[in-house]
Amino acid sequence: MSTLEIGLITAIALVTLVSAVMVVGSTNLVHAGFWMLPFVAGIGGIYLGLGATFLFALQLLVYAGAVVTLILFVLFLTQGAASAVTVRGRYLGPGVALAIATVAVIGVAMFRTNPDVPMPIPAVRADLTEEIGRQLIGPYVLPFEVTSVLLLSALVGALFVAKTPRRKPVAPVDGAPVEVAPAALEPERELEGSGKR
Amino acid sequence: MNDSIPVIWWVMFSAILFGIGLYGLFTRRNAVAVLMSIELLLNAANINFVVFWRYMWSDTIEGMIFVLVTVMIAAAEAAIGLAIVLAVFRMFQSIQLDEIREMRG
Repeated sequence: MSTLEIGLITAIALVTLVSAVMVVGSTNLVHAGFWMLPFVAGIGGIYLGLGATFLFALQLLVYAGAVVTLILFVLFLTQGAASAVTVRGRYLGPGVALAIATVAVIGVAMFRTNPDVPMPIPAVRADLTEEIGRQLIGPYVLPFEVTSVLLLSALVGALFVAKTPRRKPVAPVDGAPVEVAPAALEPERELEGSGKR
Repeated sequence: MNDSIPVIWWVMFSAILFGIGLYGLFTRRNAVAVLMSIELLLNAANINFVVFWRYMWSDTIEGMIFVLVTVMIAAAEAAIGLAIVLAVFRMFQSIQLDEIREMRG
């Protein structure tokens, strides 16, 4: 790695850290959602700096393309309940303590272990992405297929969980007449009918 | 010119990201913000896979396969989690986690 490369990677790492702090610390949740973008892009840049070009493309496609969009979408959908500007939780002290303790434990363990890595790190093979494609349908075909089944079931499950219930089971609230609930459902049903026309 | 970043710096970087994610996990009250903190944790773990692949096993591809599977699981988790958030929001008109107390449908 040349000095320029090290400087670039350090800058990307700093951007990633700052945006991570903004993701968890921003009081406006929509801002926090948008800070996810430089965060995932910074992680992708780190993959690129480490020579994992395939993971860089994957990171941008899956995270910046899909996950962040989904998060922003849900944030905008649920903003009506005045939840965009969040109030601080009660566990501020334990949260800070736990974060510092985690970093300290990992740091101490790492410094004591002192991993023995060959310092002039070997170059990445040139046909890396080709090799990934070759091995994904070779020795790693089972995890690959299991992942695809997982994604399919996640798709069906998300659809099932999030879909609007057509007819809510009328729960008898104490004292309230049962007929109120279907009447409350009327506008929704009309809306669906007009959408079909 | 042949020097490179020591591996311990990478591990500390990912540990700090993990700590930031844990902080968010404990202090946020909004369900979507908690999911965002979980994404931070997953990404911090992925950095370790890629770093140790690069420094020690860069002639193989196991590290990349791990990250590939982890990213896919994270995507599935985000989809399911956000669907649950939407369902909870429809039921309670709120996604503040400390306001959602009852399990009665």
